[in-house]
Amino acid sequence: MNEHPHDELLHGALDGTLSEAQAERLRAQLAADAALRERAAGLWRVNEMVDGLGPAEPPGGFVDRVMGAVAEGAPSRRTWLRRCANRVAAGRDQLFNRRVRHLERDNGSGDGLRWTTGMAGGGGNVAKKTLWAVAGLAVATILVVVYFNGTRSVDQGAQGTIGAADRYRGAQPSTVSAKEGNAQKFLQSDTFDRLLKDKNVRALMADKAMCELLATPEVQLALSKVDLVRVLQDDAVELAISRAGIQAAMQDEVLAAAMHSENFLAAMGDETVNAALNATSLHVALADEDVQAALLKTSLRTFLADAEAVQAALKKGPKSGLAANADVEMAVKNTKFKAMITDASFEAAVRGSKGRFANLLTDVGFQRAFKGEQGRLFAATLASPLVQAAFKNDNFKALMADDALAVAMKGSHGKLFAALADPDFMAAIHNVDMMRALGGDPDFQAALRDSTALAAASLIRGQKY
Amino acid sequence: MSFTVDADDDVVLVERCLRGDMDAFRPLVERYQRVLFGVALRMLGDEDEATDAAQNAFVRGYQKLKTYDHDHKFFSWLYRILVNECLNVRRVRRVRVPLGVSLAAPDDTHRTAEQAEIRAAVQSALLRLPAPNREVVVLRHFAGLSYHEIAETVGVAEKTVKSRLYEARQQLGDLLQCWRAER
Repeated sequence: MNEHPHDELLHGALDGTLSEAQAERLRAQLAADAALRERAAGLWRVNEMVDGLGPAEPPGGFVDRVMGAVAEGAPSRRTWLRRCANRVAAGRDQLFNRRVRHLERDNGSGDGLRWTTGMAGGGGNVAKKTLWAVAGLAVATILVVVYFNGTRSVDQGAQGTIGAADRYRGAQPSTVSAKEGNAQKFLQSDTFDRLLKDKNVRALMADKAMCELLATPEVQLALSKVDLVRVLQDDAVELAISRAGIQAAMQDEVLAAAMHSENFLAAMGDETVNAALNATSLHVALADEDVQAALLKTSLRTFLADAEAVQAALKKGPKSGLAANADVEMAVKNTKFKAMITDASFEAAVRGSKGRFANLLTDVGFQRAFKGEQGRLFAATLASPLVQAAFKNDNFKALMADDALAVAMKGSHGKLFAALADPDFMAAIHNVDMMRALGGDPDFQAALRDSTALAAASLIRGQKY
Repeated sequence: MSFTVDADDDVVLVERCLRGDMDAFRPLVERYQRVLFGVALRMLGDEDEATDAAQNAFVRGYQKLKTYDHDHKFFSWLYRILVNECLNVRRVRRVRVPLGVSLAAPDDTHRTAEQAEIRAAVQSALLRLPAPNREVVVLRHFAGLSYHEIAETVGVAEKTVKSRLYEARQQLGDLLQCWRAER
């Protein structure tokens, strides 16, 4: 390749290596030479584009995994097994601080699900958050039930041995005894024994906030209605889980508020809303303060809930029907707002969501979540194809549309999210045995579906609190 | 992206490792994880593979610490190991993973779809550069090394570094011509 006579100066300027004299010489040459200016502009543009890729962060827990591998003396061999081992070595590496993880279904072995680590970047994930809320709580409920029952058995002078089989053969509360079956069987399984010996699980069980949360009727009701395993084993949901880095989103208070807003939960199960949420025009508009202010007006909400009014306003101008309102008129004049409502997906959502989309747009928490840094994360999350796929998934929609879940999320007043962000809790549900049990152990699954566990939790609540 | 290299400190930590103090390796991993991962990512274009390559580089580096020559910078030595790991990864690569927006910086997603496409195009263009040229671009732009440091790291003359960098930028310009015209 032939070098241009001024290449050294141009590249030196790009790289910041020119002396003042050289810089002055280049400035003079640029001023006199249009072709050189054009060449410089091209180089600068390329430089900008390359720099625009930005820094890359290794996945969360990378250092721990490396040190674990160093200790083992084994480089990564790109096997899922190796990644699992690294994860275990990482110990308390928090679930939501990881950049990515894959929940890979093992179709052949019958283990159902197993955890593996992955490395892609990404933003927060609504699907993941909700899913883990349910999964974690379901697991924790079982454990808490067992823990307190086991403690009581010992106190009552039952066997008091540590062996899994003997531990729970003592007298049980009558309500539990009457319904004992799968849950009881699980309590005596090796899987449970392994779980109980895990220090992270023990820490979880000692967490008072978690116990309080689990004891709320809303949470218990939610757990009793959700077919957790079916959702977890769904391909689209798994994929969404696997690729979404929850990171800051999970622990962000503003996002948490948006997530458990009634309007958000109601809208999530609607396919047309999900499609609209993916529209760039929506993200741009919601980040605009004027649009946000306009959306809080009741008149505008009425307008947005009426697809015909929206169309009329766009075709004939705002002075028609419902649009003949000053707030609506002002809003429609905003170019970002107009771009939003002229988006085809927006119209579909207005027509198909029975007002849920309009309610979501005017939800203060939802609007706040779109602002600033976390807004970018939130928008990215909603726009992720994987999250969209999960949203469109029937199982997930059913989960999101479950009234009990909505009540539980809203009723926990932030405790749910605080509990989920607890490192011990994260570590506990990250336990390989736990995941295996959650995804594939028939006893465990049966126990999750068995109302015995919930009945026992109610009983414990009555005694403990 | 740039990072500060404290050669003396590196040597001290390496010495401690060689005396059996494995924990002394942790600060080295913490110090170089970002730059190694970043370089691997831009060299390979796949986050999983980049993570594997970076992790393997550290592990193999630890295993080969006795061969480290203190006259050279630790990063340069580690980088050579990383390059070999990247080559290994590419050798066993089964299917080229399509480049997606996930390769872009974490904050890109709020921007327009077009900008995300540009980033994907830039990453793709990087992967189409001849390996020696890609190497200098990555070290300059994503490791923040000076010409001199790149020369030492890659093991070529500084003049060669400059020549490769100029050529690489020209090639990138050609590969990204349609995007350059967008502005």
